[in-house]
Amino acid sequence: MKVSQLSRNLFSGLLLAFFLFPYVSFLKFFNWNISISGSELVWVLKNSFLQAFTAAGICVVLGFYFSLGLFQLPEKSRSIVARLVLIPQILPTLFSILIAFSILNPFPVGHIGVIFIFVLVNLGFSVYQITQAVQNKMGQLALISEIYGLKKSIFRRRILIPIIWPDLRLNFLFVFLFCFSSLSVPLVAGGGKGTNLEVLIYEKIFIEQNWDSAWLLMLLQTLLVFCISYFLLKTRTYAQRDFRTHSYYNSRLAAVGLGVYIFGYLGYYLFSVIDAGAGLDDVLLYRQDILNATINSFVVLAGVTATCFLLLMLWISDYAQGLRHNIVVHFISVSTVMVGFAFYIFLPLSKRSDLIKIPLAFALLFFPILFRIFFAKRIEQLRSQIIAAKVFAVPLSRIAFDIVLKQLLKPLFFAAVLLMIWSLSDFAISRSVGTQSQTLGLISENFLTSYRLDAAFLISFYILLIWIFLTTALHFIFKGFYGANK
Amino acid sequence: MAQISNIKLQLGSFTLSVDQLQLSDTGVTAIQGPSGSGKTTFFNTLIGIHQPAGWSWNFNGSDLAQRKISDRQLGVVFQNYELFPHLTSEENIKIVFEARRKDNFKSAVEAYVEKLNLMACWRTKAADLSGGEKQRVALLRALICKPQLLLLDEPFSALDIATREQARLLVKSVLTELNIPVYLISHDPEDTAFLAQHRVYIDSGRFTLG
Repeated sequence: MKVSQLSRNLFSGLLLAFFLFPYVSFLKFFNWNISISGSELVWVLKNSFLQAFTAAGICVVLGFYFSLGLFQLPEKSRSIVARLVLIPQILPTLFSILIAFSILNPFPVGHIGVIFIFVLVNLGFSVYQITQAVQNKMGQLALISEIYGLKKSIFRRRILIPIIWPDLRLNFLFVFLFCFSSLSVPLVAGGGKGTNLEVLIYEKIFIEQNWDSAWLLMLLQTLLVFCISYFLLKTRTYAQRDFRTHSYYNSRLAAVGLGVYIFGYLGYYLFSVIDAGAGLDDVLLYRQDILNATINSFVVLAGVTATCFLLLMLWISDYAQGLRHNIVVHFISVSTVMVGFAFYIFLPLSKRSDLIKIPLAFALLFFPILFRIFFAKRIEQLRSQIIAAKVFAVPLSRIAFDIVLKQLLKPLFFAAVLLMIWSLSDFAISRSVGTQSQTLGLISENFLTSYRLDAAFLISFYILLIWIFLTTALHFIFKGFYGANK
Repeated sequence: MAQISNIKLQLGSFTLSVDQLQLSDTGVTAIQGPSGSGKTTFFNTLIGIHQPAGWSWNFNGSDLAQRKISDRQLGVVFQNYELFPHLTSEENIKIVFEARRKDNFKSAVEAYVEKLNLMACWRTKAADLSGGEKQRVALLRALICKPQLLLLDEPFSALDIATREQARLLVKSVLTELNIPVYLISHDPEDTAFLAQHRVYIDSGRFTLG
């Protein structure tokens, strides 16, 4: 076997081994005699479907309506607001949970609370995705409809909605899957009544120590997610066309609704932080814990950044050799708990190993998302350059670093920015690896679940300040790099 | 004669300026000019995408510039046809027909379907039609609501050479039969030579005598 073939197999093998590790690790618990309570399973499935289906339905319906509000805005403000509405989805759920707890006080723990947070998190994403679909698919059809005398209502009912229907289904699927496999929201806001499948798996592992049942539930969840994805994605879409905006897409009332949603979200957070400022002295009583958590969070952040960078370089090298993406590009991690648990059982329970487990679990869950958003397409666009470099026998390491990576600096920056905020404020993944250490996200969640909202807000704001500081520092580092490479 | 006047439209560095323009209200009038000359901007003004202040368009005794887009009674065929992709050929025609006319759809459309050779693709979704079929469906959609003026924007440019020649013949025969005034925008001299009886020229946003 040639050396290049060997190294290609090695890169592919490493990527496959890492991303499929949680699935494979569960074979250890395979057992034909697993017993699971039928009524418990039905109850928890009902909860999962109820929460995910309702939240996804509300998001798609309201998202469609609010997208009409976005079209009401002038083009420049539209592009700004279209980015602003993504904030609730980009920020970790911790922030949305805090905002939800401060909007609804007393908070309705259970289905209503969980659905409310799901909608708060995903609505902006729905608006964004539906707006994109309209812009990509509708061309000048609104204009042609008006020329031929079709009324606005007929246009929306018979032309607009049917054309973007596949996108609405896709959006429903995304939100549904997000909610269906969510751990953090039902864990904090679900209470006894709002337990979903993911939380039940978590309880089976960490409370009942019933790992066999947990394995079966995870298998069931994975199968359900794949089946739902298969049926919802089986639909045709229409070709992209040049879009021309038109008054048939506009709605003033929807613009007001959209404004209330996004500025309410941001405003509530800011006002809550300002209000919480009065309780700063109480929080400072925990300064030693906060300091330790800060150090741990930084170590975790360094670890996950290094792991993700290594994965990216492996991926680029693998792509450069095979000229196609590794099969694990299709990998969607359906269960936070499953990933966490795989690390929980295979690495020792200690504070030191936490600093290995958490970054690895973060990398396994965050990297596929970041890769799809920022890198997959861009790497494909560089295919012909890679081929040219290979024709000229440029070594693989130079192709990866000097040709591919140097053209990915901008997406690398944005991916790093997201990775930082997600890692700094996570609590669900950290819990699911059975962490013995404190991180900033975990401290904030502890305050939240013990109803010390002010303290939770202040910690979240502290996380935000760290994130802004790190982003600024990173910006200057990248600027130096980019300037040098220009 | 139709009279268009007082168009002053600034789009970035490009200016469309029409002080006074007379266009025939019978037969086919070709609007010719090089790329970037302002043909499409002029076309977009007529169909209502751009609405310059104070312009007028006297056609058949009324000022179309003052009318809402839906009340101008225009038939339009765009370069990429802009069919509703999720609807069949029949549904594409019917939805427009129902918005404009109250009589029987089947009897109104029957003769055209045959003439435009649409029988085979009548129940096919627009997204699945060939270029030539799309063009014929778009033409029928424009004609079925009895427009007082037909606007064609590069209607043959998306077709291959063989289909284009057939399409020209078909369009000419339909237009001759229906006797609807047409403004044809095309950069292809063969289109205009074959179809147009009148010509105007535009360059750098201004109409010239050619």
